Amino acid sequence: MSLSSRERDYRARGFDRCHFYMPKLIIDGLEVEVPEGTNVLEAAKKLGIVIPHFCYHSAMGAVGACRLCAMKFVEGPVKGVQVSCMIKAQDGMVVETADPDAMRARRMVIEWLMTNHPHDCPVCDEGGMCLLQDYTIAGGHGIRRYKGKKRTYISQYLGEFIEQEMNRCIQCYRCHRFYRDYAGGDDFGTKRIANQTFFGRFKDGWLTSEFAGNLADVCPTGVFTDRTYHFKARPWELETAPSICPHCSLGCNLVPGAKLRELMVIKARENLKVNGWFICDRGRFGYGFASRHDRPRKFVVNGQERSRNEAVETAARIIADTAAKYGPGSVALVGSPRTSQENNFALKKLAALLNTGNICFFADPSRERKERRAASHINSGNRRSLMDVASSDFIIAVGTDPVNEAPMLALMMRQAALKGARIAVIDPRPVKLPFDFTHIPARPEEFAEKLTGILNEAAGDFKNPLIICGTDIPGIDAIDACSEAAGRLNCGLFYTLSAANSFGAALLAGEGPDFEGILSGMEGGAIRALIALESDPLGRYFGEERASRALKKLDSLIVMDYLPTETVDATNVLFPTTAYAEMDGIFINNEGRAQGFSRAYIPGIPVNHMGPKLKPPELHPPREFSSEVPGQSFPAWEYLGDIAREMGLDCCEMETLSAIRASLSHDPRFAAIAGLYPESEGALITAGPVDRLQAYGPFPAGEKPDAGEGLKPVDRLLLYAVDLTFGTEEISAYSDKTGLRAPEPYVMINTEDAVALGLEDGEPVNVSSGDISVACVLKTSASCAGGAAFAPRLTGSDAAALSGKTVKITGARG
Amino acid sequence: MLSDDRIKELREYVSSLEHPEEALVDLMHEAQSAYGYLSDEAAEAVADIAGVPVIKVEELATFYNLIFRRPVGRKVIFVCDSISCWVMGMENMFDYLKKKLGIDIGQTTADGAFTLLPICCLGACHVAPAMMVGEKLYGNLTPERIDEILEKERI
Amino acid sequence: MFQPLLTKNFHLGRPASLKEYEASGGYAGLRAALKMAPDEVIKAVIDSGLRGRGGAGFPTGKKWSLTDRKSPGPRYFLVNADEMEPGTFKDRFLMVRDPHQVIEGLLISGYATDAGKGYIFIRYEYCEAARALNVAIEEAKGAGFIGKDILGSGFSMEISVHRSAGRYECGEETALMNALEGRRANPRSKPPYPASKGFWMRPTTINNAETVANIPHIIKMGGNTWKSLAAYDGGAGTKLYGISGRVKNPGLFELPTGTPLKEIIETHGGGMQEGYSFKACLPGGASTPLITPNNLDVPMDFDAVSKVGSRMGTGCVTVFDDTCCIVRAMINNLLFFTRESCGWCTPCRDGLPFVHDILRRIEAGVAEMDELSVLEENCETIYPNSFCAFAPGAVDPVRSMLRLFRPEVEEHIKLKRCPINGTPSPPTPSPGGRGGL
Ligand SMILES: Cc1cc2nc3c(=O)[nH]c(=O)nc-3n(C[C@H](O)[C@H](O)[C@H](O)COP(=O)(O)O)c2cc1C
Ligand code: SF4
Ligand code: FES
Repeated sequence: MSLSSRERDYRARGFDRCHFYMPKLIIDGLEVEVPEGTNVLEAAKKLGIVIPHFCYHSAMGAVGACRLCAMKFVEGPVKGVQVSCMIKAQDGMVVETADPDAMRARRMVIEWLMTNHPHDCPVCDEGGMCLLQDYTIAGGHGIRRYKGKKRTYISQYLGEFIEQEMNRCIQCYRCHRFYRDYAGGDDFGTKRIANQTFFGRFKDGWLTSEFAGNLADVCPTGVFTDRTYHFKARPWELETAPSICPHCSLGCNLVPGAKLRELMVIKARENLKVNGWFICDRGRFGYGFASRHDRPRKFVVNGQERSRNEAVETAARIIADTAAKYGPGSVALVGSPRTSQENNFALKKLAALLNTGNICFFADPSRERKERRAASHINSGNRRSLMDVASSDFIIAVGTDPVNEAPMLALMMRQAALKGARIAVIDPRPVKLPFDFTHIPARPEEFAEKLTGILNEAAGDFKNPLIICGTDIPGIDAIDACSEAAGRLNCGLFYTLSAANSFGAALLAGEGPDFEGILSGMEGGAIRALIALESDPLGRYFGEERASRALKKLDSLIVMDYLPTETVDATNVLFPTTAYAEMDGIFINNEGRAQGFSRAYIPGIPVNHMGPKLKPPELHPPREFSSEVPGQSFPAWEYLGDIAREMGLDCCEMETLSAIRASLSHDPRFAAIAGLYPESEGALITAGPVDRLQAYGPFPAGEKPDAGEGLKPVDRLLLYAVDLTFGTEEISAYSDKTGLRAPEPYVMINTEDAVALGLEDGEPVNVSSGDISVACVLKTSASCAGGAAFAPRLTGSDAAALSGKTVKITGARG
Repeated sequence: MLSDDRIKELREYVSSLEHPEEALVDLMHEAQSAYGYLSDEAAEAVADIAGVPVIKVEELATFYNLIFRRPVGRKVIFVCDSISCWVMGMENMFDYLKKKLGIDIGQTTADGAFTLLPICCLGACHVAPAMMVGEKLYGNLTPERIDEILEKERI
Repeated sequence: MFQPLLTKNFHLGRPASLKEYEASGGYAGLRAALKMAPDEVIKAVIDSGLRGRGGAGFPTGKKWSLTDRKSPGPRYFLVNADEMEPGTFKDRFLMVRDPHQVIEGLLISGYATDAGKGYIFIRYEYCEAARALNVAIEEAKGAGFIGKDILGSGFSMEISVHRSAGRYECGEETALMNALEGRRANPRSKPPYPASKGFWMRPTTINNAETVANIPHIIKMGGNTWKSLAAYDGGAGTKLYGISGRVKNPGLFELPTGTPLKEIIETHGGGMQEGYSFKACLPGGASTPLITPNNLDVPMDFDAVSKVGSRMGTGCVTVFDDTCCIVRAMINNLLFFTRESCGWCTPCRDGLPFVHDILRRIEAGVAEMDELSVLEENCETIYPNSFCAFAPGAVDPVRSMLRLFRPEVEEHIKLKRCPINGTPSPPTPSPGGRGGL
């Protein structure tokens, strides 16, 4: 191909074409310059000229199937009416979008697509949020000229997440291209031919991809819709706001939608630095926790419903009395990695005002150590965003199971794999990923060594190498080793953390004890009152026995939460708080990116839960009207401020959200937060020297199993509690729909270990250590590392309490 | 049904290929003749032998017109319905066959002997109208000839 | 006297054996070619002026010279023997009567384009042809023509026959590659072109079976001599012409390229059967525009037929007699395309059923006059806007009908019935409705 004079000029001047060459073209008389490789459709978009298109999608590229984006190419290397998505912008092109032939082509394409459409818009869940509707209007097709029969289909049952209505299909192939090509699913595809072409599964049944929910977003019409939201609302009735997903540490951008106080739909929101265009099914369908019937909605004091003021007064009195009687250190506070940075910061302020050092932000002490360590390692040199993962050419993942721990990470790793990246995963679990990779089964204590081995061989040969490291099963040594290697080899570094605001919580944590220390304080009687902020320290990590024993010793427990946790059940004073979609706030994701989220709706008891004396509760509409929001809850920071004020403390820095943020941004590490606004790409936060000192301080080791003399190795398997895509993450575990995909409790061990134990796959077993015993089913896998056991930390199971302990597995068949 | 031995042979053959997907169409043909049509079970067997997800087999099976995802008779009668045969009176042949067999296009005779299907040009236009019964091609069709052919082909 | 080349063994009435083929001069072309440099072989093919016999008439030598022979292999040569164009039956004859000729052609083609692996992609219905090819391949292997280090030349090539499972779109070259790779036979976008990234994203050359069968003769005779066999100045070599419909002597004939259409129909086809007169013909398969009596003098070659508003296509002529309703003929033709559309792009997938429906309404006498303009608008918009050449081929005959037979079409609408058959036809299976097998 011949070079244009401008391009030749660039090259003569020694510029690297990829970076500097910007083809310039004229569209509808307007000149536009775009990066090389941009298609003409995008170039026009840059000018604000949006030409209808169905099959083209920024994430999935152009395939030229729908033929809708026709434009007339008047001058330049390509001539005539062409579909603009398939043509790369080149110098000298003159393009007309309003050419009569191009317009006719576009109008006819719409007319053809509409020949078989069922015209069932009034009962369609797209409710007008429909590209086909928009473009039918835009294309000027209004009168039906096709008089033949419409083709009809029988749709498939695809599970409880996604509803299919094939008669609305316009065969843009986006669903296939997303599901199979982009997301690597293998149970959905294109069937039949000609105008019978069908998109679906081999047989009816649940879609198995963890990203299936995106079909509802990529489908430009109403073929694939969110089944969990079916017939609940029309889009214009929804209250929405830009928001951030609370269900893992990646911070994907999304838009929650609520109607009449019921959170009922989640859609992905574009952020080209984080999640791109998509989200995972945990993020999309895990919203049910917000509208649970048993969600805390009332202020409760010792079992009695009270007013907000009464609750504040009681809490203030309890704290003041306890501090007066036993000293300020007798009051402990525990924040949480799942609550907003402002809430945690307000808690920290209150602790400072109370003059108690007993504050921590993680209920799981082991996770706290590791996440603080990980957060402290991220710096401007090694930081990589989630989108950067997709452009890495060499990835080594250490001790992480992406689909289960941070699903969207797996999707981005797949994009890297599709571009040819070499990927290895060092992990003892039988990790499954939607692409080809090398699995190196290794026990956590071998991570550092294996990592070094691989890196010594390979990493130097790559342009964008990346080390990914989990913080669940790897020990501190592996976390440090990853950081050290990244520094030495100039690799990117990407940790996955436990929750949406883990990074933020890690940076707030100071020199206080971890929750193990606080628990000991409770047990020993030194700590008499505990304030738990959206944290469930007693529910998960210490086993029921110990937790309730410690609790009994406590004089008072003050809990602020929106989830009906086990801790809530035991509370003296309960403050109902707000979920992420019901408040403004900031989460800081795993790479240290602070992102703001906004309130979508005012929280309260959903209208469809009401209706006095009318059972069942779904009855609607309500028969009582009031200007009060029934069961209204407020962000925790308000309550914390109230308590401080009630106690006569100086609470001016906790008074309003902006005061909290202002105060937070006085800390140089959080200075960037001052300029943060919702819908931006976020502000980057880096740990300061304080954290580094802190994080590198002496932590209790205690992670190696003791050898145990005289025992067979299989009698002392080291158990790791692990995450699953569905059913273990703290918030979504309270959601009914994602619950459908959570498995029954199980423990997984290596096949040979099972043989040595005389146990079989599928057999009921007891897993025990000390006084904790968990009943579950045994799973075996040959690609599971020997000597270890893995149990999902399903809510309601005590598996999390066994984590890090050596366990005995015995058959329970009797 | 494919015999275990045959499955083993096919697996070996597939694993000898650089691109196992190239064998999919052959495998479908073979499974189809073993099972009578490409039943769900047959499709799953093909997927298993080729080491691909069954949806890939389904995508192909439903694309091609010579892979049957529904039961067919012991022999399929493919009547050419393309242009040269149309000129030479293929519509009458269809009518005759329908009457004679007592079935409509796409149906199978009660005794399971024949399924009647249209097919595009068989490359026998010089002897139009033409049809194929099973794997055998017949041209210059007339009602009398059709009678003879059916007699001969019925098993 | 004209000496047949491609058809010289056809008189046997069965596949020529290796012995018979060699006795008629077979594999001499391969021996000669292996002594030439690949570039010399390509040069000979360029000199010959051979144009692809698959329908589009792309110069074969030029195609070969575009093949990327520099980047690392493997490289592939594919023979397109899908032959599903209605009205066409030339490749089947080549394969069932003289399979070695296709194999020899493929070997030489592979040598010229440095391809180590050749595939013959054949439609499933051609059972006999596939059998003949497989027998011939075994024979040729035994004689050392296929395999490693062929005839001591250092050139190696493997050949296999792929039996497809139906669908016209498989014949489109990029769709064919997808089909061979075990994917759905949707066409691919170009670029990248097969010459650099084709089958399994490797350099690939693809030619029609007849194109390939010509190669041994070109090598044996020399490109220029072969070229001079044509019947007129613009042409090159010989061509297989088929004729079907109500003529006295339907069949396949090898004739000098550019033999006038009239001569093919009247001399070789024997003229119309008693009681029938010539109405129109499709000169080269179901996707070529109609030719009416006033243009019968046209020499049957690519450029000449294009000049009279049609295309030579495959060179197999389908003749319509005066008892054929032209609308009904087009309904039949369009139903074929509607059914076979691969379903990838909108104009073809959803536009063709629209066209089919209007044609049916016209024939059934229920259409209004203004639907003609809708029909026209559909055809004119489908034609330039589809993804591959399938859809233009589908609507081209209908466009030619609207040009050449407008009065007959309008008469249907005015009379509210078919002026030729009177009663409306029984309904053809409609593309609408629920999906079938
Ligand atoms: C829809 C469609 C179907 C085709 N079918 C065939 C076919 O059956 N056989 C064939 O040789 N070429 C067929 N072609 C042409 C091929 O795409 C390609 O041009 C040809 O195989 C090239 O070979 P040639 O240069 O030797 O003609 C078809 C093209 C289209 C668009
Ligand atoms: S024109 Fe479009 S739908 Fe038709 S065969 Fe080609 S790609 Fe497929
Ligand atoms: S049209 Fe029937 S065999 Fe060709």
